[in-house]
Amino acid sequence: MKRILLLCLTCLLLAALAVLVLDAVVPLFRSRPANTESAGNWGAPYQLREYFSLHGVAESGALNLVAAIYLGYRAFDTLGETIVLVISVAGVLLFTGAR
Amino acid sequence: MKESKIVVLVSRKLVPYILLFGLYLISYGHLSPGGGFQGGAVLSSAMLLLCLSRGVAATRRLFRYRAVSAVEITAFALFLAMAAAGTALGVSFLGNFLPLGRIGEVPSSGFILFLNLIIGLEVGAGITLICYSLLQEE
Repeated sequence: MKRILLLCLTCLLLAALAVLVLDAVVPLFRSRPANTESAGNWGAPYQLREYFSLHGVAESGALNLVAAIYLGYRAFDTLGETIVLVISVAGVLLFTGAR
Repeated sequence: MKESKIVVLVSRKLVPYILLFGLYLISYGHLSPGGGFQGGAVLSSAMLLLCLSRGVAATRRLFRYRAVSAVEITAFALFLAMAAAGTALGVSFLGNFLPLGRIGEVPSSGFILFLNLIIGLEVGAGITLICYSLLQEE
């Protein structure tokens, strides 16, 4: 139990360190809509939707655009989700006193 | 509580197919609706069925607590490793560094397939651990 918690915490710390160090060096989003003026006043969501439906499959190689977005363009968000999952599992194991 | 023969038989026949369906959802996640989280939930639903029909102790003899928690932690570490490998290979943090392959086939879109596998294992193992700890008999 203690070992699992310790592992989770080390992974979390490693993730935080990795994000802090790597994000300072490399920009997160390489691909952005090329001509942002053409979409008029629709704003960022419209432009992103257009961009994903036009270039998403070719850029990510995934036919399922949902997967292309949550593991390709916004994989950072998924990293956060997995951290939440690991922490919640560790919390349940801790408070139920599992062995 | 008395064991029901029907429940035991049906769950024993059903669990392998549920696990297979979960693996299908995970491995075809980049081609069709599904993916890591959904497939992992299906995997853990098979474990939940085993826990409810055969008891937690019997299930834990089949899938050891230690092994399941090792899968959980290893999958998370692999996710971080994949994320860092993108930077190491000069793409970006969590960037796709594998070849895309031919679009529409199962081994395509390099990175996304592996991340789906990793996330599916992690979600399945995590919810299985929660089932173990919440359903265990005193």
